[in-house]
Amino acid sequence: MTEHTQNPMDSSEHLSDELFCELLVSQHRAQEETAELTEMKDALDTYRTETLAWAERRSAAQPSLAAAARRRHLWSAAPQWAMAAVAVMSITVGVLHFTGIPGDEAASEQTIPAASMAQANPQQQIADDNALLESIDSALNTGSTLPVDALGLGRAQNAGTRHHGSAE
Amino acid sequence: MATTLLHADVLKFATRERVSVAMELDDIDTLARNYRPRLLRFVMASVRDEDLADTIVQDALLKAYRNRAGFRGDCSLNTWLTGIAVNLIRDHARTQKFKFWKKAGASSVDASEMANHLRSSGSSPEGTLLAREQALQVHQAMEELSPNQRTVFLLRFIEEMELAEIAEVMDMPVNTVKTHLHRAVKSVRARVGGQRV
Repeated sequence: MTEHTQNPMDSSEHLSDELFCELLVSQHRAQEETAELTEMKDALDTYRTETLAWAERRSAAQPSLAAAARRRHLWSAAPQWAMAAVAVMSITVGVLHFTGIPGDEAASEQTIPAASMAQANPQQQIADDNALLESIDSALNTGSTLPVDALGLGRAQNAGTRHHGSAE
Repeated sequence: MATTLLHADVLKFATRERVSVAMELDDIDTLARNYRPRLLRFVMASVRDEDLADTIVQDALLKAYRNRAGFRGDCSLNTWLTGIAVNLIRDHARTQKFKFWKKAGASSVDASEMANHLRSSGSSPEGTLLAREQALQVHQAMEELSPNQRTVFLLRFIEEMELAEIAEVMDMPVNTVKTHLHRAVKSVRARVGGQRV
């Protein structure tokens, strides 16, 4: 730094880039300042002032941002409302599922006593099951035995044999 | 006793500052009135396109307003807003659209409104005329800088931020900021000095 103190304002004097940068960054006018440095500082001052004047003039012509802020707020809030609604619905469905809706309550009222009865009187339960199985058996025996009867094919087949038989 | 009073004064001042900042942040138009010109100057010098600069500044102000609850007061409001603007400029720099504008700007003489403002001498005295001419040269010299160098140069010499603040805004170490700054000054000096001699 000391090598540049001989003639501070001599424009022919050359500062190294590093020293030039250091002096440009410093707020105070240094003794080592050359004409080049002074001119650069003045140029930056002018740039700062003039560009701010330009920006102030342009900013003054810009519309208010209040409407845009409200609009943006609604847009940004919409997905949050949607997510909140989905979350509330999910929780409601979950709660109803696990606690039981009114229809299920009746079913659970019917099943829980039956289960408790079964535990209370196993002999009676076995007798009831046997009666149920017997009634199913009797229902199956009284109906048609052929599966094809359900489709009406058995009758058609019988009719066919009868037809062939009469031809003979 | 004196220390207690001083501490109370500092606390009172800090509280008043916080209330004032909160009031500024709660009203988007006050925020725009107080900070838009400085932001616009910085963004315009960075992107070299008036319409894009207007859009970025508007986005920065709206983003700040929306996220005002996140402002902790660790730095000044101006530094915080500049940080938001720097990030938005980086986002735009990644898009093809911005690349197009950058290419278009680099391939022609800077005919932006800001450059014209600098170019127009009006009825300025001779000394100011020279400074204006050099300011325009600085403006054109910044075109040659890399995005990081230009941002650091602008934040230091135009926004007059401290190196630590610049490091915070740009999310990089102070030494990296210094390196970018030295390179930027060297480049601008060569351009402006070269035309001067």
